[in-house]
Amino acid sequence: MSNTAVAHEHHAEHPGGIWRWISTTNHKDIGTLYLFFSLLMFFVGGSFAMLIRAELFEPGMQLMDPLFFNEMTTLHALVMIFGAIMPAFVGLANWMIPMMIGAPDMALPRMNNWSFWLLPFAFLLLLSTLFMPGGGPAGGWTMYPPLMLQTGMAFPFVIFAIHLMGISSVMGAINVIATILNLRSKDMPLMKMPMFVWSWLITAYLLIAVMPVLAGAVTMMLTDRYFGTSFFSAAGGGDPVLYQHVFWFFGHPEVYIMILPAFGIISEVIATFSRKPLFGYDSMVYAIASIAFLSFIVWAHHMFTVGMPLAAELFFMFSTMLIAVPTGVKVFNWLATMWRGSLSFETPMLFAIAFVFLFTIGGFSGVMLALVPADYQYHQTYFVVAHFHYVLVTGAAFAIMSAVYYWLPKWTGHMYNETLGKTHFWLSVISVNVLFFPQHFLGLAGMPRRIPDYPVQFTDFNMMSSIGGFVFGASQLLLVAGVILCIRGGKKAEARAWEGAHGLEWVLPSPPPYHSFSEPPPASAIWPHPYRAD
Amino acid sequence: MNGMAELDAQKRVPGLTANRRRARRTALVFGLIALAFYVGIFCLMHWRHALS
Repeated sequence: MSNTAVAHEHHAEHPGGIWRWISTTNHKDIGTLYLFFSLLMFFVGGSFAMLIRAELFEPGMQLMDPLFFNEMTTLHALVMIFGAIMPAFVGLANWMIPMMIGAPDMALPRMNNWSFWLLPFAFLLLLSTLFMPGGGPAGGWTMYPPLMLQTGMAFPFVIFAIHLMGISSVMGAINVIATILNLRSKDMPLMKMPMFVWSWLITAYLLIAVMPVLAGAVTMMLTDRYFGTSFFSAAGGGDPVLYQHVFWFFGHPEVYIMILPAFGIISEVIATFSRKPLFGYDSMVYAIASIAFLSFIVWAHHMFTVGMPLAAELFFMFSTMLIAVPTGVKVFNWLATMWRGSLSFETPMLFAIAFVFLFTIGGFSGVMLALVPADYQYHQTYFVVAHFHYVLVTGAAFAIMSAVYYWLPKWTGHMYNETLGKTHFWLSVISVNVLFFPQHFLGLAGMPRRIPDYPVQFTDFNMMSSIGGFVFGASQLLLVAGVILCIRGGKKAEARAWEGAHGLEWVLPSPPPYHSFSEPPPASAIWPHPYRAD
Repeated sequence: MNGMAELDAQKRVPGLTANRRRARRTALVFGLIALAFYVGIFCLMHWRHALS
């Protein structure tokens, strides 16, 4: 019996229907679950954002009371960070890493199933808090005590939901590390791995280091409220500022957890559509590692206005500005990859180019915020909101969209509708700038964040921002339409769906077989490697 | 039986059994590291609290 026949025979034994998705241990199924879950959460978090922008459309209180507004800002952030961006990257990792390194599946398939299925329960729990006495969490995603301790009955449920998300993330990260280190093709040394795999390996280390710290911090808050401890309670000799240090020791690397896989994606897409090897492969790897290292020693730049010794302010200011160096290396490498390339501008490439431009804008405003005297002015204003939305929406979310269009032909076996994709891109890229660019001006003019009402002089820019928000939100329906149409049919995709694509995932047929590589890939499929010119 | 275990039983991927065993060990090590961070942050905060 041929190997293919054996594979099909075993494939046929696997359950169908809903039980297939509940019990699956296949990396592609789990990747699909993660991606659809993140899409759902993207729309849930997005609908909260629409409510926020509707309330801020004009001055005065229109649609909701201030408590509900604060619940919306808090849940928008928690849902988007832990429910949309992070699961989307884990979904992409699940789908692509085994195929990119020549492995049959993820190393720990049962744990993979657990990692995913914790998430829906975590978010059901989190969102159910909106209906509890006292309402949902309203103290911001940073959950600073003592403010967070004013949360009603929802408090322990939020903490438990965060623990579930954390456990899910850590298990996912362990699986990624175990897979890359142990199941990689013997012909693929570390310094020849695809950039997406490298970026995820480093992200996984970050996750393992910081998610337990967040879990520890919120557990201490829980014991402060229910078990008489006073870690963060000044009345009992504790220190509320200590929570902020611990939170941001998690929070800043978390920002890089959401952007490093994006760097990997952009490196893949730009090289493919430039039809050139990635420029400066080694420096790209070292830049990602440097950014990851620096992310651990910059946390207090989120807390300059809290007060700290001058030496600490200087240290955190300079260490933060230092991050611009490896980030600059990456941006220039992407530009050098495109330089004199045979460029074509399909939807994934359009999103990747927009990423390079717009993420850099977010990076520049980040350097502005790193300056202590300037931060005293910008802190807690809409300038900060504009900054991190440029990094996370036009950065992380655009990279995810680029990845989805890039790998959809591989996943579904069909080419997506290019006209629909490009319409989605242009609507998104124009509206997202209408949405977030005016927020820089609002912040510089002094509009504080997390307020449901504002003085009349901020009206015009807020109206502009809200209109941009509504268009951006609506244009994401085109992404859903594009994905559904691509799943249902379309032009047949070849194994190598893009002319300039290289890497092991393009050796497999589109869609790939149940076990990605049930036999090790030939060395000839790996060498000569597209990531290095040598 | 999950897909990887099936493949393992079929012995079609050279070294898969050993690699999976190594992967489980890697996972255990990193799981313990994560646990150490969780417990460590409590110890750190307890120590910081005791000092104040």
